[in-house]
Amino acid sequence: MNPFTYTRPADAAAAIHEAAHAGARYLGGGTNLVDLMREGVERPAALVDVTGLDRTITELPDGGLRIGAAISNTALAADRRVRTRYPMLTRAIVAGASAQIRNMATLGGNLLQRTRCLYFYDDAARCNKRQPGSGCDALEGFNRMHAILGASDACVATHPSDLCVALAALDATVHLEGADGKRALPFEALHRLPGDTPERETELRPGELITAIELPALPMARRSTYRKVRDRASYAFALVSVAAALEIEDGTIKDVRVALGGVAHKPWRARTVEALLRGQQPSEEVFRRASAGELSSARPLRDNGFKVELARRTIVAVLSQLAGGRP
Amino acid sequence: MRCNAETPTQDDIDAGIANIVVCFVPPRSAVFVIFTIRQLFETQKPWLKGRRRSAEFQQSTVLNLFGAARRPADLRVERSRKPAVRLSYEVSMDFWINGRAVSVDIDLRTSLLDLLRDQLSLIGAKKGCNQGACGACTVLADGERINACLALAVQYQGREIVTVEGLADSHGRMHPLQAAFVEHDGFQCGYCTPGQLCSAVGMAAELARGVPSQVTGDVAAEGIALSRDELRERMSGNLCRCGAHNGIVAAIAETFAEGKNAPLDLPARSRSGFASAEAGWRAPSEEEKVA
Repeated sequence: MNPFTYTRPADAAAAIHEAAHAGARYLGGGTNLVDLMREGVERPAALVDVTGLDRTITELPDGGLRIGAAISNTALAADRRVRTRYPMLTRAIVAGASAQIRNMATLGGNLLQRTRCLYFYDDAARCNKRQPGSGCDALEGFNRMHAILGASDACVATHPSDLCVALAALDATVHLEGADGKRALPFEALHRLPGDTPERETELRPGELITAIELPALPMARRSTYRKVRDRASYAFALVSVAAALEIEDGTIKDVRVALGGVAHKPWRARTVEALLRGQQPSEEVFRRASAGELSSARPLRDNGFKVELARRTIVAVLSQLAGGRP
Repeated sequence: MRCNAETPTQDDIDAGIANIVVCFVPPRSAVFVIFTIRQLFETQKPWLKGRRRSAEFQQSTVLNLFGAARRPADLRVERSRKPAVRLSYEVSMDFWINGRAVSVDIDLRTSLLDLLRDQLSLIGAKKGCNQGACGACTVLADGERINACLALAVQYQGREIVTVEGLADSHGRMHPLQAAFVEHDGFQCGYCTPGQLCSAVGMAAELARGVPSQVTGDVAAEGIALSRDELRERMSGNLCRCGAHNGIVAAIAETFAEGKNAPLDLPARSRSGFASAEAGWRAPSEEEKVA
């Protein structure tokens, strides 16, 4: 591990000041960054520990919640307001990692975690994300876990977060603070598709800090859930995951939210599914057509063709479950 | 003399991929002789990654062989000569571990696990995968279970750390969960056991606080019973390669069955005097086993 300096600022302004140093990185719980530093993938010259910053959850006037980015995954999942108003978020968090890691990990860190693509970790392999322009060994390699939507010839890695899939479905807002002041981004605009620059994973400007996430008031989210399909029952990354909320009024679908995990370089908001379902009468057939529409643009690789069918079926299963009144 | 990037941390040594630097500092001489064995075994990294999982072996052999390479004295020489990067090397840090205040000079890169094992000789917490996958390193920080291998020690200053050595009471009597592990054969080789124990204690506290899990039926409901499914899911961050899971589950289920042992307020208890590492380990008497 490279040597680094360490500071633990007391407020966001001080943290942003510290992060202006060349090679500085913000440090949350360290569950991803420390591991990457050990592997030599990340070599920060300075760590700015932001776990002492805002970790509170506050009520917004409209019934939404503002969540400080330093909150732990466990604390966020266990908050009564989150559990009751946004059950898909709680379920997404507790579907991720292990209890030990959820206790350490922070919300801000979760948003910025790096892909678990094995070629990204292996410094003997070519990886455009780790070393821009070097090539991608996953394209022709073992790519069972890789992306089927929105990938490019430069990168087929997936975003590993569960929590982020729920945030994409919930239309969360990301609050940022940097040397140029504060700004807010719609959650969907935070992460990027790989294109030709897979090393650029987010729209964050250099030194910018995620200070909070806002969840809008969304009554339909009370009937929402998250389902994760993986190689074992617990403690594994998603092959496919689905976060969904469904609002049915007078026998027709008034509103619906669907986002997918494990299939793309970013949490994948399934806008096609949503558009095809609004105004329809809920049925398995309708769900099947909508999910097929979303997956029609899928471009599977050698080993991950199964994900296309798996994603279709998981979307149908989750929507059927919600339509049946089961959270 | 430059020791910076070439100075192996505990992690590097464990991984077997360290650049081994040996610094000879002759008395009253300004001459430093440096031998660097760059990227020892680097070409065989995949093999070493496999070996890393038998970390106990790595630690005992590699460390004993090259222990001199990381003696603090050598690093201090460097610190005095390069004050600009002083923070990258040894820093005095204060910890609260098993009810005792500890002050140590350690490299900033030191993980909490390496601090415990190598600096403080609290070798209960084990290094299995060293990447947060196996749970053998689980300890409690302010009552919450964490993977000590992924934790930079510097972030845990001033927190209440409890390791398996801190679970017994001040008379050396085993924690009820430890006794239950003995009773139910909750281990075979024992390597995962300290992590399982700390993890289960933290798990019981999470359950009492109403933290839901993946298998919780209604996450909005208050009060979660410790069903077998809940227990197994909540302990999924602790692997046991011997396959002692049935005994482990039985011991935890019995210990934290409703109305039996409320999750213990360990940090608070540790302040009032848990068995310290200095007291050393001794086998429990028959009477204590029953208790």
